Amino acid sequence: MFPIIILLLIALFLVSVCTGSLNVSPSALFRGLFVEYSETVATVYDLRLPRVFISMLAGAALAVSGVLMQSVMKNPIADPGVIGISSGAAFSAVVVTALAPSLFFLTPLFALAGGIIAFLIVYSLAWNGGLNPLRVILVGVAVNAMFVGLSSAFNSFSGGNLSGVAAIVNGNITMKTWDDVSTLFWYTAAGLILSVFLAGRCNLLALEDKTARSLGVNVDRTRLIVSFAAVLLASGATAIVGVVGFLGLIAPHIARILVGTAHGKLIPFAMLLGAFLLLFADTLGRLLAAPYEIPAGVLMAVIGGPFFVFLLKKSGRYGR
Amino acid sequence: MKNIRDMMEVRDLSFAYGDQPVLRDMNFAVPAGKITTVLGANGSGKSTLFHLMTKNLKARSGSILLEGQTIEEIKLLDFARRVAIVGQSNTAPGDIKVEELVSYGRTPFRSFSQRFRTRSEEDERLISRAMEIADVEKYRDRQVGTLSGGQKQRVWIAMALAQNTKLLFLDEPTAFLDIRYQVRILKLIRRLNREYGVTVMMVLHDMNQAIRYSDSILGLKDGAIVCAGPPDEVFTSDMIEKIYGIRLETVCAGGNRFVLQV
Repeated sequence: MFPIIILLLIALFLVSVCTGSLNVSPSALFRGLFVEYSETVATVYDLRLPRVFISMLAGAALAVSGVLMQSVMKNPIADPGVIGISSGAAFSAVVVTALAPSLFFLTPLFALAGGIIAFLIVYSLAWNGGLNPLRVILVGVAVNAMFVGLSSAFNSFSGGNLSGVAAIVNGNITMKTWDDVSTLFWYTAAGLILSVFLAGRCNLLALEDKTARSLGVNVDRTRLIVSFAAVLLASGATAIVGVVGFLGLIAPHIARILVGTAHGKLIPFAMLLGAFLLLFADTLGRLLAAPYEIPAGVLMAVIGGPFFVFLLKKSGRYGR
Repeated sequence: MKNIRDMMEVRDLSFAYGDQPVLRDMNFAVPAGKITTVLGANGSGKSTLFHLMTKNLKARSGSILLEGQTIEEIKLLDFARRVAIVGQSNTAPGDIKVEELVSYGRTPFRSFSQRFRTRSEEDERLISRAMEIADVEKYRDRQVGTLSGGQKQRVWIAMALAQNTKLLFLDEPTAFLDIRYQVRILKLIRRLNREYGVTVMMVLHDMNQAIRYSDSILGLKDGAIVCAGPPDEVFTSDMIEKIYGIRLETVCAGGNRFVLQV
């Protein structure tokens, strides 16, 4: 499965970079980047490449965040989007963007703080001597609704004409720069490396808490560390691309159907799959209705939903 | 004088959930190298006692000693290196392979850096040994989700065995199994004790199984010990009535005592 997804991702990357309102052939792209200056390639480099990298990084981050969240919450529909982490991060990013735009380079940090606060609210309200999966979702949905509402309200107060605020609220990947790429890269890299180290612990969290404790695992502490990695990944992505729903929910499940539940494989695979899915959605959104754009989040839901149901149907045993 | 032949010792142990007392002033010992079984009606405090002795709950007052050391002072990781526990309900992702699940038993012995390397020879040896003893070697590459209840239970016991501890706790190891598997699990437990010298402390529901497979019985009633001793002494009609609140006859057949349960 790994070679397939890697090849698909490389192919998609080339297609995505080379096609759009400006078309370049891969060889012209190579020449333009490394051999001689070409105006077309320079434009692609400035405008399209950052967007492509951001889609991949954010996709990887959201997918892995979903894997970790589902592991911590022991809940198949826990996802940073569903339980309010992304919207908490987004609200915090929105406030900073609107009130202190000069701090834009710190936006991810504020988003992280917002994500952590949302997570703590959900976790503490749902905690009752243990995590009840149903309660997590109910509280999460409420917290999510609250932050989504706050962000929208804030957007309306500001007349809806602050493009930075609107971009975060709507989840828009256009108009990204190399600065955004490098910011997102550091947050995502930190989160992903941490996640890979936590794979073994996630496997143990999949057992009953008592079983994990009997193996000497401090379950509460492990949960907090894994959650932190998940919140870091989701918040970093949200700060740069805004709220992209659904990806963090379905990418982990598709990955589980394809490579199984062992996190040593699941986390790297979800990373590649998430990068592929979000880049695919963004590229398609760019090409389908050019010169207009369909937001990646919208396509994600329209294509990802049916595809997920198809996979579920095909693998009869999964989820039973 | 302290008896060094006791693996565990419980002194003046009391416990309450809120202001609802569950255990009152318990005193007993778990002798090393023996099978000790806890019996009691539903709600008698068996499970609470089990969780207190396995560090899942903290005692209100009194102390629990493991080889002379209070278990509160023993770190979770150290405890896992010395005591293995098979709980009552166990779940694992269905697609995990038997060998992988058994290998989790080595978790307490793998340091942070070892976690990312392949298993040591010692780990491999103990994992194989555990699978052999629990007779799950032949399923080593099967997915846990494809096994029957009895086979799964043996896999969980194998995981505990991979911890290679001197003391093994089992909470109703035969629950939810049909009679053939119940007997198989109990025979496995006895073999662990007799051949490998593992001290066993378990909770059982069935009195006849307790008589047959235990060296010593603890009878619980409303959070207090009402009887303790070898099964032959404990199982009288009077004592059964004391523990369970129902009078049952006992008979002797083939040198063994049986409780007539119907």
